[in-house]
Amino acid sequence: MVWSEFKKNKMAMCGLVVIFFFGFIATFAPFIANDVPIVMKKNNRIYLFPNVIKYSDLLSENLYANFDLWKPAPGEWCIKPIVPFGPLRQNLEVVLHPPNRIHWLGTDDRGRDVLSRMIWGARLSLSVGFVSVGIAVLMGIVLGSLAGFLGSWVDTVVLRLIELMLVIPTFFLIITVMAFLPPSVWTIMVVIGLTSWPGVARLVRGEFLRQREMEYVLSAKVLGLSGIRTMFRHVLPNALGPVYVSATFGLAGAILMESGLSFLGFGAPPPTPSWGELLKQSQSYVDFAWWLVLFPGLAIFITVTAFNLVGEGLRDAMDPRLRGGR
Amino acid sequence: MLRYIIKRLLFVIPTFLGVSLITFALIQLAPGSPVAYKLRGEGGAMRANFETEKIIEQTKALYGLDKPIIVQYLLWLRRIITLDFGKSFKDQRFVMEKIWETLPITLQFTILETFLIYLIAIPIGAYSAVRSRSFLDQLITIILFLLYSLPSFWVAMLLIMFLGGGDWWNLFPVNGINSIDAYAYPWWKWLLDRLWHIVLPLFCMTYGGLAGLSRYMRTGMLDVIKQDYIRTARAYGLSEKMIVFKYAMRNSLIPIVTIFGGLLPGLISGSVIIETIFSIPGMGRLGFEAVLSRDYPLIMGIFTISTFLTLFGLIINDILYALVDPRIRLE
Repeated sequence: MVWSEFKKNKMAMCGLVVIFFFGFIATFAPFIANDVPIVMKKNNRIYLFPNVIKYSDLLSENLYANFDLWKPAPGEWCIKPIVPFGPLRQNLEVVLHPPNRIHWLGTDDRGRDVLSRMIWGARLSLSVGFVSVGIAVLMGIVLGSLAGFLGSWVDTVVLRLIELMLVIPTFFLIITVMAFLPPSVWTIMVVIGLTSWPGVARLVRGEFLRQREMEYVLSAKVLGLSGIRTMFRHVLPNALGPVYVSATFGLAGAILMESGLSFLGFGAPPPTPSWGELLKQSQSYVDFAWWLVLFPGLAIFITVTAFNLVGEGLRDAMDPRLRGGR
Repeated sequence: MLRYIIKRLLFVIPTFLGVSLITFALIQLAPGSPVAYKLRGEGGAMRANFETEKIIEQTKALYGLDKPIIVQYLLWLRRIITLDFGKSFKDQRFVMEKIWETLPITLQFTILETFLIYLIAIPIGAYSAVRSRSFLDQLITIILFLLYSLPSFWVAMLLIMFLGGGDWWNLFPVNGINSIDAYAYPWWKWLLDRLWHIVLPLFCMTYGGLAGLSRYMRTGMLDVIKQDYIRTARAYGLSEKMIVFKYAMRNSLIPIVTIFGGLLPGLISGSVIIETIFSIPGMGRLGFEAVLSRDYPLIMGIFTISTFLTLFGLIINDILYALVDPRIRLE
């Protein structure tokens, strides 16, 4: 029902396609941008997927650290990914080159390929987005349904917590925590997740309060179902609709937050490729290095727009007031 | 009304306690605290040079970290209430003094920003709703949607790159809020100089909220226009102008007022990135620098003060909301 409505919305479908595209790139990053080949023949042996499996004899030749210098000798061959540069591979001979035929989107200040770093950066952005929104949604659902279901003092406590979260400067809190804790991707995910649950909690609580007065809850009671069972088997699924919408917008927000943190230098620890980190580099070379500004920002913008479009599409598809009105 | 305000102010107490708990937990994370020792091992992973040792000793003394945890918390609570955050580690100046210096600059931006957002968003939103589904409305909707998703720090970088010197145009300064010799200018030149300096950052801070509020205004106005009383007004033969400006607009402004409070939490948070990019000596940049140099007293001070400001904004918001909508009863 929702899907058939959603399909009619061309913009939202575009957004969905973009998200799948970025998801594909992120998932298969080692096959798209890497200097380690996908298949190679060496030592009279064919190595399949050395880019994801670490072969011990290649490791003993110290090849993984030097794949950029390795050329197949006669009798050897390899198939490299379409972007034959690793995201961490530095090459000081090509520092800050503008886009050219070898480096399609140019290189950064350590001679790393920008396109390769952006492809791997998609991994970071999307995983931070999904994990942190996962944490936020889980917390929001638990706290929101407890508040809506139990009412009384639990409700008061949750409401006070929500107000507290609204009042504190979230971004500042996050950078403070990030500065205090040892930097890691997991810290970012958890910190963003822990600060973005109030929206979900409020939605779920509101839905619970609304649904509680509905007739089907009464009939469940008449049928003798226990309160807890009614709430979690019947009311919760009905209350989830708006949560999906809010989670989709939350993904856009989390991705924006992650890139903002990386931009300020509070993101994933240094060599980790990230869109925000590329933009951060561009600050030092802003007078000429337009490729360091343009491309990563564009990637952030497109991803955020895509998630926002899908969120809007979902919201419109779920809102019965809009259904059939067009 | 007075009773409502008092009640609302009483509600501040639990929130205030929560804030103090959060900041207290943050202190526990700082080096020199028990938690930090656990995280880093006894002086282990963290470079225990003279500088850090000094900071650890200072933190311990400042927050009384050698005392039992309850006493520590009560000491902290007293500090918060009396707005005594000690001295900055960096230059040994009082934290409150540093905050009072930077707050007016950030407030200046916030006020201008809010003013501009409301000034532009309301007519755009109302126009879009009244001419709903026209070509212009659809164009506006798409542009607003794109603006809404544009990361402000990217826009800032693009503006600096293309308009702030470098290989392209050099139309605007990208550092600070005045020229170096501005203090010697006559007032009108000083004002122009200030405006010239803040155009770019102000734009970056404004467009996102502008897009959001316009979209909100459009939805609100569309809801109002569908109502029976507007149809009745049409049936009475009132002019379209009269209907839109006198009857529809007023009611659609009610939800817009609630957004006002929502703009305030961004006061510090939202300005961190933009103030840093444009080197604006406001509270956002102060906070960023405090975090970078791990200036704990300053971090705590900024955190607490900006929370208070937001809380204050939310209360004003509630009162405003009740004032514009008589249907909302104040108990």
